[in-house]
Amino acid sequence: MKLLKLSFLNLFRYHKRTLITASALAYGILMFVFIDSFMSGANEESFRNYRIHDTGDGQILAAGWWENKDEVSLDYLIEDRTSLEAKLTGLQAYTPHLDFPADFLFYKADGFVEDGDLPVVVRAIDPATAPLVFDQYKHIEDGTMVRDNQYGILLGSWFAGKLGASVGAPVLLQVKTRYGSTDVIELEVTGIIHTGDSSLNRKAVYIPLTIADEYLETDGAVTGYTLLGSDKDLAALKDSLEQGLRYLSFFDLTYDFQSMAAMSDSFIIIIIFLIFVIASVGVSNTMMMGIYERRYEVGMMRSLGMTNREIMNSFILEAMGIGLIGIGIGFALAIPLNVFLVNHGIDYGFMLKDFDVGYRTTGVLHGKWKAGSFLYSAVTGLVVSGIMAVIPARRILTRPIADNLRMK
Amino acid sequence: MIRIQNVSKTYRSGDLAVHALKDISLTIESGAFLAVAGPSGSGKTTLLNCVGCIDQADSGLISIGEDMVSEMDNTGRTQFRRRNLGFIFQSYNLIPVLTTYENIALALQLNSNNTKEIDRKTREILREVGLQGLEDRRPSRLSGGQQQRVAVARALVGNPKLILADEPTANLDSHTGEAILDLMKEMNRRHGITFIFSTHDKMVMERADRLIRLHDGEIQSDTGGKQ
Repeated sequence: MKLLKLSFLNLFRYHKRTLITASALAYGILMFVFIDSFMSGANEESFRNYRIHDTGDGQILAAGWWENKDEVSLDYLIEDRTSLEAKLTGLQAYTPHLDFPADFLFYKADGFVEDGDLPVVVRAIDPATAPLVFDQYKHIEDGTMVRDNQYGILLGSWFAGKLGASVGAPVLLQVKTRYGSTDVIELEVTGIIHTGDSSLNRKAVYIPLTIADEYLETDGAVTGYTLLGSDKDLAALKDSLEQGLRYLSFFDLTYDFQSMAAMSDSFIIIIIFLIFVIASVGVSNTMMMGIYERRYEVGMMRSLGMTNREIMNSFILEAMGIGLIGIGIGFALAIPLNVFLVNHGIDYGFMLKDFDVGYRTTGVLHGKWKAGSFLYSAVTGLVVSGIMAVIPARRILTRPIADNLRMK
Repeated sequence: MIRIQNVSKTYRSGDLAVHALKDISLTIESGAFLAVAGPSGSGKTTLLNCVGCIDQADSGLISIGEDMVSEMDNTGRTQFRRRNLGFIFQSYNLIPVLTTYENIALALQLNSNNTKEIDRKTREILREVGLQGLEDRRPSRLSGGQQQRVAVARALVGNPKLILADEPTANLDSHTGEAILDLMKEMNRRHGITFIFSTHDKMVMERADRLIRLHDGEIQSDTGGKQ
């Protein structure tokens, strides 16, 4: 108790220094809570966007397609849709899609910003079932959904905005058929989709499956099916699939993103570690100055019979007190900041329009409440502060008492 | 009774060896009021440090009462200091964040958790050294003389066998120094506690019951009573 009181009083002995050091620690805690909240929010929203805009709960793809997915090849297609769809009837919902590469041709005379062409990956969809599985068709901000057999095309909002495309604008898609010949599909923009998914806004190009089938000569074959269903139903389906088909779970389909997120988390941990190192150097410096300035006092306390352990503990408690003040200030700043992050978010959409940062998030990124990050940062701050007192205190305490008393 | 037998201490600074104490032997009776005088570097503080278990002699034996302190390890010496010794320093050396009361009570808190007993003893010594009314003041709000009174009270409160005072009047004016010396003499008389001072102060030498003069680590003279 006497040590606690002594440490507490010493804490305010150099109150300016204590406050400055605690502020460095508070900054570390603030950054920790902020970054953790921000990244957790980004991860959660990205996974959600993957599920509702791209992967569903799982997909069935033609064997070989996933391994060669970067080719977006028409060599790997599901031909026998009828028998497969018979197995899918028990699921909550499913929809077929056909992915293929194309050149997107546009002309200034049609209202585009310039004449040109862009390589794109087009997804041909079934307008009847796609809205049952995917969410993006509820977010057509201008125009309407494409219909079966309609020469219509849906574009992501940032993609359309960049090219100057508007509803009603004519578009040409130059494609290679399944057999290698070239054809051009003349389409008209029917709708522009704007979602909370940066990747979709930047890249989405959708046309009706029937039109793609006609021009690509795929004879009803598709790349795959996106499924919604319970884990149990999907597991049963996986087991019943014939050769030539491959089931991929949500986990499999988002594996790349998960790896990227894990790597990103590692970098963040390094950054946070560095912030804490900087803060702890501040604590160490403050404690070192405080301890060296009090070395004669330490000598006196040792003369009185206070043990080295008691003196060490008193310095550790003092340093942890600085940590506690830092935690208090850090939390006082981090809580309102996180309230803002969670409720309002930060709009960084201007960055995502041009760069793919890997996260499929909306332009406005929301944070997340994580009790763990508050707890972890508090414990880390407290422990690191305590440890920082040990080295300077040891240096003083390992010297003879007579030296401590001589050093004034 | 304090026995010091053939005590030597050498400090080394690089290649330089300073013989602070050279084969010192002396006996100090319990209840003595003894001053150790001598010029700077004569070994006064080293002798006090060795007797006070703050420093360890290179050779020789030191016993205080029945305890052979020169044979004790670090922990033993710390425990011995805590229970049996009191220290008064030249620059008072109070803890600036603690009040008068707390500075004195700290010496008792090292040995006991009995708050009632600590309070009783602290208030008693405060009265005895004339510090009533100043209990709640921090050292920065006390005069030099008052601070040294607190240091004396802190040294006395644990009822030690021996109090070692390193130039206790050096930072005080002559009037205040005399008053402090009177206080220590009174405590020596009243409680029978042995006092050993190191000093340059003629007044302290005159009031000591016994005066030992050191020169270059050796006893130059040892005179009993007022000389």
